[in-house]
Amino acid sequence: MQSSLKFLNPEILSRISRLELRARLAVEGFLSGRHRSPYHGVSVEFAEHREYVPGDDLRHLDWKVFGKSDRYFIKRYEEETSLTCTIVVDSSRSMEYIGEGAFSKFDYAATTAAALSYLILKQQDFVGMAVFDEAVRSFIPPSNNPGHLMTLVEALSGVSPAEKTDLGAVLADIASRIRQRGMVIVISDLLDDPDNILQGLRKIRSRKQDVIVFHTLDHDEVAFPLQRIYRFEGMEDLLKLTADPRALRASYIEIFKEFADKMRRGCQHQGIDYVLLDTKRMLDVALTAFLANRAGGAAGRGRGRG
Amino acid sequence: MGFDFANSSMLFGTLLLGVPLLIHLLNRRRYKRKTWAAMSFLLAAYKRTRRRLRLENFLLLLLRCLIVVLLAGAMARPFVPSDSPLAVLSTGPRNVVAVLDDSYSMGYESTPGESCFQDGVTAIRQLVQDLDPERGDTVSVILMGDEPEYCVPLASDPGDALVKLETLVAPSEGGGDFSALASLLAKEVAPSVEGDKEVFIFTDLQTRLLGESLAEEQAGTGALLEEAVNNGISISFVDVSRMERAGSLRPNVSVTDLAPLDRTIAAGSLVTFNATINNYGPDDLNDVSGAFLVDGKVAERRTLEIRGRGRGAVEFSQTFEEAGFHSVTFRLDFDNLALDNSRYISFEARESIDVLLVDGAYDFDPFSRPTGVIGMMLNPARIGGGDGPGTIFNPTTMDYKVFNSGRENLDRFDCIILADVEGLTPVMGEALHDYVWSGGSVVFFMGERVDLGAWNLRLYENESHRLLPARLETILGSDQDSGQTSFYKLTAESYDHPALRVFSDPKLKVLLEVPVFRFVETGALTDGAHVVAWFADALGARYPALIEQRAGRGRILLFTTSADDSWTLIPRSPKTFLPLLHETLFHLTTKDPGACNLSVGETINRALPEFPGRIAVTFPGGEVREVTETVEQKRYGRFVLPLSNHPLDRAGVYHLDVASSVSGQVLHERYAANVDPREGDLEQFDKATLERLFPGVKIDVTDDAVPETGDEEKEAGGADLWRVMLWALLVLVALELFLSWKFGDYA
Repeated sequence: MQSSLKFLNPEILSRISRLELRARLAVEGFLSGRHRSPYHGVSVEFAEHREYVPGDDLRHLDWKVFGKSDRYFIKRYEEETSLTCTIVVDSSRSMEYIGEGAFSKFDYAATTAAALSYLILKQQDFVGMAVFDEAVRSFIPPSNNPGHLMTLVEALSGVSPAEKTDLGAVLADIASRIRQRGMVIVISDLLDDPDNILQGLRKIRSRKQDVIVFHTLDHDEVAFPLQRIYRFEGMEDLLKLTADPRALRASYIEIFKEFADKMRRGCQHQGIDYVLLDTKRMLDVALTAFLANRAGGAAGRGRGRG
Repeated sequence: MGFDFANSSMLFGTLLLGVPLLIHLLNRRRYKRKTWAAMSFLLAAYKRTRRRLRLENFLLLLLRCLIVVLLAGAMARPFVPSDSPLAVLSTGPRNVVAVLDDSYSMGYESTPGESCFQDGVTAIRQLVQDLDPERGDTVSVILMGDEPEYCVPLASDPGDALVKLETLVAPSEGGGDFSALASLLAKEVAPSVEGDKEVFIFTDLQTRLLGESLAEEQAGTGALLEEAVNNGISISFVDVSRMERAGSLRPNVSVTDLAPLDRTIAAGSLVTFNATINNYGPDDLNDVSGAFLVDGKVAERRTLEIRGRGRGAVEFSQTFEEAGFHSVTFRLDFDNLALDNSRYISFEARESIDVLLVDGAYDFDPFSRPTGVIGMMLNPARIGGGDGPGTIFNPTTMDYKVFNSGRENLDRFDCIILADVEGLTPVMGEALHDYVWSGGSVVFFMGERVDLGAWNLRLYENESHRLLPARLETILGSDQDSGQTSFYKLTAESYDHPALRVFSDPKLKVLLEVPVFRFVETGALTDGAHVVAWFADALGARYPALIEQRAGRGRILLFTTSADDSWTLIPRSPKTFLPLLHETLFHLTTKDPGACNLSVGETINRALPEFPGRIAVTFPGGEVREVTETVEQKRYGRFVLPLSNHPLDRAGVYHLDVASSVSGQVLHERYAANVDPREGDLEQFDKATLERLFPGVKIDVTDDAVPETGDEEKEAGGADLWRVMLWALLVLVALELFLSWKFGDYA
């Protein structure tokens, strides 16, 4: 249990929790902005009341309650809030890389997954999880049970990265498992064939899923700042190379940027959010920035529609 | 190619070539293992940069190896012969200035037929042959005589210089002036030639070359040398004396002086000549032999002994029966330096010295004339009508009124004495002025009849014809018959003056203390005048008694007292007056020794009262030169002979023959030209002397301007490649740093 809690970093969670209003906005924008209910409220089952806040749609204002209590409440319905999100976490061996920081890429990815799960569950939405390497190793169906968070975290803590990646096949597999409209969050270092990855993402997207890709990399892999001669040994294969990183740095960075740009463009083309996460960056800062950015985009879209 | 190394042991340093290789290989083995996730990026980056990396690594390795090799090579000091194609890498174009000492001491022959001068020419030829015209080398040759003179102009082609060097056979018969050369180097050579200039002075290192060792002169020369050196000139003295060690003494005997004991030589009288011989060598000489020659013919041979660094003298007496110009030579037998072995003197044996005595009051009684005593003392037999032996003086007495009539030809007199003359007409004032300026001598005596105002007006205030050496102010003193006992005594300013030298003996000084009662007080002296003797009273006050002045080629002497005994008792004292008068007239009438005894390089300065006809100069070797230049100057009634283009360029006796254009009568004169005897002292200076005289100026003293390849001491002047290798090394280090930075080695 103790090991499973490491992904529920109290500091990260507290920061996100303190941003309740912002988080709520973020989650609403984050989760429902793109997945507005097609049933438009009244035809679906009533779920609860929520106090009115400026910006709420006045059509959902409960005038009866207002007549009784002289306070504004908004009526909420089951379909509108029940978003189903599946978090797909890469647990291949390459995710085990640790640079100068304390976190491996997998640790960072798992913490990201846990934080997002917490946030989603706190909004009483549904969240599920798939952990994969060459294939999907564990799949936890979505649930909005408050105790579901521990199930997810324990699933993450039970993983020991050991195998190669086959992200394209994995994404295709996940796409086949998802039945319901919702959201898929992919957290991976994407160290695989980019065309296969994009193809897999396309399959998920074709299942009417909103997709977010968190491209998680160690700072060493992004900036290649190594200063002495190393004998590099591949983590997922037997390749070896003795080289002076100082001589290769320019080419390496150039090639990495080409790869990242290809992924970004491919995602954008399919309407997928692409986020590059550098493990050197504080996770809460990175997540908050992303959520705020997405909320801003959702608000903009909302105003555009309104 | 002929590569060789000055420090070949340093070539072992090239073994360090392995160091960069070793570092490179060791670096490849000194790695850490690292598991890496993004191998695909790394491999792609490696593939993309592999060829470039290999090239960069190879380039850096090559540069580092080259740096090691060049460093070791430069420290080994490689050099090649100057004719090697690689020699162009050694230095840039050379600008060489070869200075050849042209003083006659360079004629010294260590072995017969081989002089220092010829050795200098040979050394310059080798230096010039060592230059490379294709590289842009230039050369100039300067002859360092009394005035430096370009033999080959600045920045000339070496080939042209070689042709010109063939014409240099023997040195001049003059001296050398290093200070003049320093001035030329600083003011002309340094600013005229671009880049560094190498000045080689080929000389026998004679001490006299450096001048008279006067501190101010040397300081000036030092400043000039410093200026030259600061403007890119390097100076090296090259010793061509063949002495093993500078500062040693070479044997040389020199005739340093030849002079008659008498100043005026009378025809028919016995004249004694004295020759001085210096032994400049370190050893005593027991049989220095030489000969006196009279008019070019051997008259007497003499042998003498002279101690090392000592001086000897020989005398020779001769009677010249014929009046006119004669020459005497003392010639030593052969020694290593021939030019200072002979000394020449030319003089005129006089029949008489003609003196015109102008009386202010003529009287048939000679003793009643103001000039009577003078005439008696000049030639008693002639004036007094006695039978005694005559003297060389031939006095002629004339009343001043006759003199003022202007009928007398003044040119026939050697001296004119005016005594107690009231005044001169303007015409005679001008005539007397021209007479003095053309070489005559005038003596003025004062007296009661002298009109001071008229004399001042005519001979002092008229500046164009000024003759008086001082303004006549007033008559001082009292009549000796007045009963007053105060008087003045004659005191010499200096007994060095020829007129007073006879009184320099303390026993004879008393002869000057004859009373003088009256005299003319004078005012300010004119330019060039000086007081020879004073009248002093008992209280010590002094007044000019004898004032002398040179005017043109003649002399003026003013006695401020009388020539008779009216104002002074001097004329009554023959022991005082006779030697004073004779010595004064000898002094005044002796032709300037410089007029017919000149130094090598000077020209004859001669003027005649009438227009000359044929003019011919016979040189010592017998060469006769007709002087055809136009006679164009005419001053004071004289025609100056146009001899300025015919300098006496060698030592010996010259004959000047001038035919009169009117009578056809031929004037025959002899002139002697001598070398500077100081040049015969061959004492040498060394580098320490130069450092002492010119502190702060770097001057080298070497034996050879062109080093022989293979001789380590001489390699500095060869085609040394270490400088260019060091430059290349610096460039490579800079390139290595830049490329390492560029390739990311030192990011």
